[in-house]
Amino acid sequence: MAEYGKEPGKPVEELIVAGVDIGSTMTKVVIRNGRTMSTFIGPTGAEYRTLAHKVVEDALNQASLGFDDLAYVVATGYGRMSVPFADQQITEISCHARGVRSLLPTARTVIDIGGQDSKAIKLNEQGRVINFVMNDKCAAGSGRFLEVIAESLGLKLEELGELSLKGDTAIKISSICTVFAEQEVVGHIADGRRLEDVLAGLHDSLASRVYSMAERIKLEPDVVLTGGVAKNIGIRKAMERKLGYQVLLPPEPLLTGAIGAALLAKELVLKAIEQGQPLKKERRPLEAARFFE
Amino acid sequence: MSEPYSEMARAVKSTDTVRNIKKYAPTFYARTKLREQEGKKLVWTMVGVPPELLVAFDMVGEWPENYGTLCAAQLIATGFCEEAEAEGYANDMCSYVRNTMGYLRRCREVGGVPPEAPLGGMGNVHLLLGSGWVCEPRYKWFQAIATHYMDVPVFNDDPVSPAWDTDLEDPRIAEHYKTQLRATLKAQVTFLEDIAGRGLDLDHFRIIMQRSHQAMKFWHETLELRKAVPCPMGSEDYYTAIIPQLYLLGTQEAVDFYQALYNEIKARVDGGQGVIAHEKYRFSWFGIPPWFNLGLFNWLESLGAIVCVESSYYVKKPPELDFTDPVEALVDWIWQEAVERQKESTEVLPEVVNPGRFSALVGSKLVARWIEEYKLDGAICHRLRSCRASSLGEVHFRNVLAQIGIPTLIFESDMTDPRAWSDAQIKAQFREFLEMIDASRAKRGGRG
Repeated sequence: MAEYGKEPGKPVEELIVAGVDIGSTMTKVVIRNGRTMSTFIGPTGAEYRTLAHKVVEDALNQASLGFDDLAYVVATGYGRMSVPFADQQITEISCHARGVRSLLPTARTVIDIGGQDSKAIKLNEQGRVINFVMNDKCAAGSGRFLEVIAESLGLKLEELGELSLKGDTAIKISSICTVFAEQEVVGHIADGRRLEDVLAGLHDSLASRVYSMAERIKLEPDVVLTGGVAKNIGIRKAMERKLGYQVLLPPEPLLTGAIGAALLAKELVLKAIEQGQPLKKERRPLEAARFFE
Repeated sequence: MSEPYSEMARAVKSTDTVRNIKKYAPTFYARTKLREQEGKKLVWTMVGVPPELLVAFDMVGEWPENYGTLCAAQLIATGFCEEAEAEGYANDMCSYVRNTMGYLRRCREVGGVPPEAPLGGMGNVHLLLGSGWVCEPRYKWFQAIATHYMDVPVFNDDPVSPAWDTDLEDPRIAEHYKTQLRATLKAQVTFLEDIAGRGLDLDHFRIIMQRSHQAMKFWHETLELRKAVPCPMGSEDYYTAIIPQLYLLGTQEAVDFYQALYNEIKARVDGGQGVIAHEKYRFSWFGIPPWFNLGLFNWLESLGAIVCVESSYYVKKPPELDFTDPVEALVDWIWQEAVERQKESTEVLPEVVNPGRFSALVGSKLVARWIEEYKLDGAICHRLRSCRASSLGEVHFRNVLAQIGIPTLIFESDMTDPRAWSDAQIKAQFREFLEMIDASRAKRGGRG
């Protein structure tokens, strides 16, 4: 388990809460214990849909905590409904917004490029979500686009970004379809084009697609890039070229949703305490989701 | 083997009248049998062609667009769309057209009605009566059918489409377009007279037009009642209740249906009864719905959200008309609707604003007014992958609403082709949208 560091500000209560973000590709858990946050990241995979409780169990074990130590659990991400032990489900837009706001308070736009989708979130000065947009039913604006190309070229996903920066002349990838783009890339390589130039064009293509989606909500700096694809420096640079200014990056771009979920969990507890009302707890024991019940 | 799992759900209706629509509109639902009756000519036609003309010539109509919605609801449309694509039609062409072309390809393949076709198919057509209203694929659609699949007479009307910056209040301009409308209608009537072997009976047509007008008055007044809080009727009923409006105008069935629906909704409003007990969000809907998944509206209602008004097929208050000359009354009705639409919609959809007596398309000015009158919290835009015409103005529409602080959700799918549907992704967007509205209310201290 990684020590994430200390969050700015002074917590009112020493509460232990958890945020669970089950994305299409990766599952992220953040346990907030007082002022420190412990994190856990693992692949989601098909079987993890029914095993979210195991991920949380592992995270708790590594933090030397038990499930009963958690005051509140908020689940988010596409798989949030597969977290029956969560007290509340909150959508990833709200969680990402909250997470980013806590880490980078100047953020006005969040662009999240995940494994199978991408989204842009507009925040007002107070950090409240005022608009959002998500990609349509297409993999071309997501991490899957890069995965497909990496597999096709026999490269590691992590290598793509760095290699793309070595390109001298970006070769335009004109197709907006992942499969056709893959063919186009393979075709360019077969024609003897430099791999780095082709990858530069590929990164430009993904960045352009995400940009045109995100611009629908009128991008405003500071723009924060999150999600697994934010770790790709080629995309980051391509996005900056499109925007004409630098983007900000959280320390761990994968975790903003889970951090936001944990923060919202804490805020919900504190609000309940403040209002003197019993906390709405839906939580069942730490066990797997039961479908069709 | 069990039925394959599907994320699509058919709508559960709220009102008795809509649930019992087959009782009120027997000729529409029994049209397959009616076709078999001797002497009845079967016309394939489309929305935009005045249904009153079919009533006047005692012809039975079939609407391939409506058949597309039926195929979509029964999850048959994908197969027909794929057949059309196999024929060579582009997969981003109108899915109503693809569904029809795929159906025809299957008919040709099996030498009759394919077994998967709902309601025993669309029948053996005698003539095609099309319209260029709304978009150009509709204009070429029937021509393509007549060219490739069947040798039957075809007539396409040429809708009046005033330029967006034309002053329609200018009597000279109005008369210019009304002359064109008269000529189009006259040609349509002549075509039908030739097929029917008799002239248009004006006394009979007058009664038909008066019935049509009466039905639309009831329908418009019913839509007005939906301004009530809680809303007495949702989209799951609305999108079935449009059937008489689109296909049965001029029949007594349409009058009876809309009168019954008005009475039921009025009683609900008087009794303070809404579709959902705890209404949290009220929305307008922009665009054709996903016919294969009208259960979406029930799902939204389970979250406390109701759609109170729809842009697609919306009926404005019918104008007062002089029925002395019923053909002229029809011309006047279509024209006045065109003038009204241009006032409220032209800034959104300049090239597709052409006349009809209901609006597949409404403009942001009208929707902005709806926000106040229907007490709406937001707007939902269904961006249709295969209907460019109805999706064109949504960005402008969203921007106008944003200026008055009303959020708009734009999500993408299709009206007929469920392959464009992504359940998890679309529902995630809806949940986000509701959460955003909640957060906005929490800040403002509004209703929750």
